[in-house]
Amino acid sequence: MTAASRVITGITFTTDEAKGIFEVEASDGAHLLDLATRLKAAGFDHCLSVTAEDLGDRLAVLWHISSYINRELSNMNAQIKLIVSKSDNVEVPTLTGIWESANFLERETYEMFGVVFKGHPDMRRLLLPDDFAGKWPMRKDFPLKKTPWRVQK
Amino acid sequence: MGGGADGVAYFGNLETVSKKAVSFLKKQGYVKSMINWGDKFSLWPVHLMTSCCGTEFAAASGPRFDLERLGFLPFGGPRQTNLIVIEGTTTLKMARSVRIVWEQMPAPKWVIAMGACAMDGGIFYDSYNTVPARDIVPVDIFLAGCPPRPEALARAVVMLQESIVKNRPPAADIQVAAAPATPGPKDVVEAVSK
Repeated sequence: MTAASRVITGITFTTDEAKGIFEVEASDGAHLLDLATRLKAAGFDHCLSVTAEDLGDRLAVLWHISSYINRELSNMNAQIKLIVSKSDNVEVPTLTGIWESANFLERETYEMFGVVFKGHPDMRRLLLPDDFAGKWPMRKDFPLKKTPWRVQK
Repeated sequence: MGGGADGVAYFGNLETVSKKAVSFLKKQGYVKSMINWGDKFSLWPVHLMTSCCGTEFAAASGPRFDLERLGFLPFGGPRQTNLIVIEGTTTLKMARSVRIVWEQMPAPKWVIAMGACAMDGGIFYDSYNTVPARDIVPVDIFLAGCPPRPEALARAVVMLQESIVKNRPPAADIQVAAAPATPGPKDVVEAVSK
């Protein structure tokens, strides 16, 4: 185990020194499910947050996980990353079956970024009104309503 | 029946005549000033906390600042109130509730938009999910600050009392008269979210 990486049950996490986040990147959906199952067995017992990142032509879907039971793992926040190409409804597999607490977090990611989690038990909007005009407000191509404030330079 | 001071003679059914006389008296300076005096010291705000300015609102109603000495008595239901203080940012969902509450309040009614968010969005300027207060209801007083101190809220109440004494009509009366068909909450929110 070095400062730059950490291996748990054969999975190598890379570390961002500045942020202190251990990250593992999944290549596709099947790999993601495999990773998640192994991490759950290794002691990561809950999902802290689910979010996404707009990278222009791609979307990065992120799951943050940690542990309550395992003292060593509870010190680290691990991040699983899956990069998919951006379209209107991006489909990725859900991790609700592995970490139950991802349920509402994935619903929020759906309404904000348009990521449809396949296999999710209740794929609806979480907080936005049902008749919200426009799509996926947290994406960078979401149209803004007003002109920006003029700042004196 | 006799003649009124406005040069109009009141004849006919007692009920009709008394109604006419009451409406005449209400417009007279001394009666109107008495009604205004009553309004001035019974500005009862409806307790509708939309955001974090509500803590300052609560502090203003508490024993230290004690806005009740100005007749400012927070009240539970909208049917007994005549003032609505929009405390901070309003989301699309909350804008609908604010509009419904405002429509339930009996006239005359006044609105204070409290804080930077209620004025023009504040830190949530250009957000996908917030509505400025002026797009929801007609606003009488915009109160700056993030959040405004309880003293500022007291100042807004005093300014509102001054405008009532000066016989200025509430913004609700002016804007409703200009546009008789007031849009429903759904229309307002849709117009804003486009």
